[in-house]
Amino acid sequence: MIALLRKELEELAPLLLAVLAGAVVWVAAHLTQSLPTWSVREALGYLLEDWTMFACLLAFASGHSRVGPEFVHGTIHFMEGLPTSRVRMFAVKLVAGALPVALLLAVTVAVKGWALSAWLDPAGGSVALVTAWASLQIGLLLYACYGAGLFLSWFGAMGWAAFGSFGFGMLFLSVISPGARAWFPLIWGVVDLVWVDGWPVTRVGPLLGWAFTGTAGIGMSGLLFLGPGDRLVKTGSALAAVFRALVFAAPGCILVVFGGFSGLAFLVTLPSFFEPTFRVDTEHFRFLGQRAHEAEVRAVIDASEGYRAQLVTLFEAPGPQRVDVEMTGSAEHFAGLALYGKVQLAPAESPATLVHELSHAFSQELRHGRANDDAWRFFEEGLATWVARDLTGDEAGLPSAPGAWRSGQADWMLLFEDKRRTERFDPDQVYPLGAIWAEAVAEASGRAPTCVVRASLDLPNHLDGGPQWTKMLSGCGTSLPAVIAAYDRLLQSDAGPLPESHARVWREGSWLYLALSGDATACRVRSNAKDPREQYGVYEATDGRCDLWRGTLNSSSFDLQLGTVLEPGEPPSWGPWHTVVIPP
Amino acid sequence: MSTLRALLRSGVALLLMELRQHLGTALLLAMLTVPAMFIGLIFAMAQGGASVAAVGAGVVYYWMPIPVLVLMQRLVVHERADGTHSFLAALPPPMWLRLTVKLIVGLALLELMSSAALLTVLAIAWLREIITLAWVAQLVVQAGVYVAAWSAVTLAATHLGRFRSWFWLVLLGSLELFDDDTRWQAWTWLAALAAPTDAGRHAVPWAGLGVSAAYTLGALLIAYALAGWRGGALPAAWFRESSTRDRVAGASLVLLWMLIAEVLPEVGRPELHGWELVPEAVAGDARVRSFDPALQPHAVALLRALDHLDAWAGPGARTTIALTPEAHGPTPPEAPVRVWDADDATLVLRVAGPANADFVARAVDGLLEQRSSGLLAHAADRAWLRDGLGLYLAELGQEPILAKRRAAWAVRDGLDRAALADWREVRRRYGADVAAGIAALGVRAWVDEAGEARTGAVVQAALLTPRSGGPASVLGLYRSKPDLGDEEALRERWWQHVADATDLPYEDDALPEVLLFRSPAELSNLDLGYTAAAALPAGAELIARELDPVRGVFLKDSPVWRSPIAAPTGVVPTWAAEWSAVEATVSVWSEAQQAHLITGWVEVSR
Repeated sequence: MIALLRKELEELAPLLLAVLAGAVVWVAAHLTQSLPTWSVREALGYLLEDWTMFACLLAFASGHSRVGPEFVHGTIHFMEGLPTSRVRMFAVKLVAGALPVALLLAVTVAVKGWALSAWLDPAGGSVALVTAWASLQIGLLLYACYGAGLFLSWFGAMGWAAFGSFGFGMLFLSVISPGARAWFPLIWGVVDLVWVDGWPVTRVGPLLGWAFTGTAGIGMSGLLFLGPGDRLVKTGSALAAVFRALVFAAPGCILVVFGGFSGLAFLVTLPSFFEPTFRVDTEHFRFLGQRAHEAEVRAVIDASEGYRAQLVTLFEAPGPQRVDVEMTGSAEHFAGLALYGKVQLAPAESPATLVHELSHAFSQELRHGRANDDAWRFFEEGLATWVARDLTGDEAGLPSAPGAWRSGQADWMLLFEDKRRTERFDPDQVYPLGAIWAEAVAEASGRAPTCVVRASLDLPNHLDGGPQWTKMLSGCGTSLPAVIAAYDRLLQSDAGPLPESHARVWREGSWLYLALSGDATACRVRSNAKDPREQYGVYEATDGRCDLWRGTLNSSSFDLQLGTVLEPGEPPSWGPWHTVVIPP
Repeated sequence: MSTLRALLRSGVALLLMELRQHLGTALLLAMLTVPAMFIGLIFAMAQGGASVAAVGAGVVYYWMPIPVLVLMQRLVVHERADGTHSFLAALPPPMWLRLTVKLIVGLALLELMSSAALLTVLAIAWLREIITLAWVAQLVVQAGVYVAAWSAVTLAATHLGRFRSWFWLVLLGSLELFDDDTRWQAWTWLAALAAPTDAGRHAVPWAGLGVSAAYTLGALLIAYALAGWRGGALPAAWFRESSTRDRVAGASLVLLWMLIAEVLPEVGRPELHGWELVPEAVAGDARVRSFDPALQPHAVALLRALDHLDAWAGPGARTTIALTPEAHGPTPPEAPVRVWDADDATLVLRVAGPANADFVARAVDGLLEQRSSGLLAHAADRAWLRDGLGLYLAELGQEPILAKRRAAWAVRDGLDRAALADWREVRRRYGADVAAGIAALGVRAWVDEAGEARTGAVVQAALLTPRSGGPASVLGLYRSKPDLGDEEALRERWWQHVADATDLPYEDDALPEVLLFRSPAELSNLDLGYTAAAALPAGAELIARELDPVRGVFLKDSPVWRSPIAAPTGVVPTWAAEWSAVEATVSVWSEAQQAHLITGWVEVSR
């Protein structure tokens, strides 16, 4: 028995070393952080998903290396010569394989317990509870992975493929059904939970599921070890062949099903592709327009070369020599879009939108990626808005700059930090605010604001917003304080602050209800600040209420913005984002 | 001639054999390319479908690596697993011919697959985008080079035998290190399709094509070298079955590397850059910089305090402070000065108020937080030292009027000597501003007793220990605690200073008592009710802030809600969940104290 255990542990030695080395890396990462300033959630969640992934894969590797390989490689026949029964052999293997798993759990408990109780002051007894809760969750997850490893070890390398296929399947399931994410925390987060009165609220289902998976894996592996394992691993075994087919078929089937639904959904959009179109080439443009909107397209074509010539003067640069303009875009998603090499407009857009997008094309051509995007985006959009307004006089469809100022969202320094700004405010506000900044540059410098684009060419790399704008504006013959003063003057109004709107949030089954107060008439929702602008959901309030389906939201909270129409016919002015916790 | 004919005949025979063995798999992969294409199309359409042509390139870029990995590996591994490799090696066709045939078969099938997918999507795109024949040809070539590069790299990697899976896992795991920077793709075998698709409409991406082609050639050379060196001795050894211990070791190493690759980017923090380009606020002194010459008086006032701090901390702990004007808005700013951004080397402050002692105190406070990465606010046993140091330095060498006024206000509001022993409670009862005044008198009492030199040493040890360039961390808390001597005696002297402060002329700006409670709301976010015992002063606001659910303390990034209140009773909505832990207070700005006076933070329990 002891000799057998020693042999097992010798095989597992690299894995035990990996656990210890991983623990050192994990602890070292914790030591470099300012843990005492963190919340319990942050301290618990710090690198926990990466560690859990590592731990689960090691637990699987431990199980996968224990039982099946003896049969696959035929070494079981040597072991049968030992004076010990198969039951004992299996027990020894089970215990040896469980050792790295126990070590992983011990490291998890020790590191997180230490991080929570030693550094978070005041902590109290609830920290022990949180540690215990997290450990139970991770412990059962490791147990499930270990059990799965033991069972899948009977299928050799195919076992790893099956584990991967299962992961792919769960990922797919989690995408189409967010409720399934609690079952698969390796990707969606171990600590995405709701705290009610200081206690974490968790679902029992996944815990039972993991416990069952681990037990079933160990049980089935044990039965195979004691009985028909030989036949299973024998070359040409029908069951192994079926298993192999299943492993490869499962992700293929998911792909086919998902692709099939996507194909059907695409078929719905296909008629829009068959709108009759026509092509017109001019000196610098190739146009593609829809016959149904020929008049609007012709108006854009007729104006294009003239506006281009004005842009050449304004930017003091030759600009792109050839641009493809497709007036076949989706009006539902955007008015216009400048990609490198082409501009796409909605079918019935005005020349102002073309000028806006051409301004981007000129800027892209000149800058070649210079200037830090975070401090540049507001000006890129603002300049294009300013240029379109200056050349065409058209300024419809933009969010309200006075609305942004009156609701405290017009801070000039926040314009230099687009990511931080988008976390807090409407990302589209940079169009009118950037245009006012461009106007402020023009006022302060006495030159067209396009001088900033040329000045950006002399920028060193990786500058923050403040230094970057100090340098660019000095290249324009003005200074940052002068532009700030002009910006404030242009924005300032006698109208007082906008009254803040509010919403009461409650849940009934799969629906969330937002009852609006104040002047708000619409809700805008995103999962979190990382969501791209196109994925924001907009809901018009009916009877002062927005209704949301819970299934569209990924986690235990979401971001909400309330919209107020300041002038009839104008788009709503969106207030700041608020994080709303979904009632459990 | 006959040799050539024999080679050709062998080549054709091998070709047919490979096709017979792998055509089924290739067809299956080709069939799976169709759903992959639809998934790409529907994702693009969900975002407006601005460039359907780019979806075609995207399908090749993201999907084709899977068929390449499956098919190219199968071409090599299949005959090794079946044992037919040794049989084929004994036949006349040379190694290079066998490998070339595999390459031709694999590449032809994969190029067909990718070109068909690309052309299909481009045909759809042609219906509503400007697609010229020249650009189609260019995209087909780009996709072809991309697939060839993947195929060549896979062919070479497959010869690593049992190590090939580990090679791929380490390679793909390493990409985590470049997670935030996509430009690395331009230097890998992915380069041919790494640039935005539509950027190639009017210019051929020669550089990307060149890089991918170079990888293709390099990988092919490695594949032929591995297969041919000493009759393929290396792959023969590497394809041998590994022991259980080897497998465990390989898996462990790969997983460990993947963990390290995940953790490394998390540890680093972004740095603020280029603040040395902002003009010096005071000529010749680079420590304080400002966009706005109007902030020069602030810089002059601040530099006096910085001289003292730098004398204590030494040159190693120097920080560049950037003063920037606060934004104008329809409502007054929250504070006369606030920290906007901070990293190891730079502190950016937004300034709204005048260049007075309160400004200096708040700026130094921000600096101490920056130098300790916020740790000191949570170090209960020395927090008063941190809280008081800013105002102490601001009023150094003069009568501490501001500190005394704030302390006197607290005494009139009930502060007693015993309360000094529980600093956290003092902060909760009187707020950060008044607490800073009380603490400044504590620092003064201590300096009177200990003397400048010892004070500097202790302050340096406690608050300003240079961090050798790295961020402050929990390791920093292992620093020696400040030796304050007999703390009971110190508190006695401190209280004497506080009691003396009440001799100042009295200004009645007391706040009425306010009862705060949760307004009953079923299944909703939290509403806070309040009832004031007397009329509220003008400018009063109710501030509510969320507490950490377990620690029960307010943390810097937790949500805060402010609502102006005028009526003596009312209800204020918040965005906190109804079950969350929240504390609240009523606050008003006092010009006399240069401070926010509060009624005391109260946890509004359920």
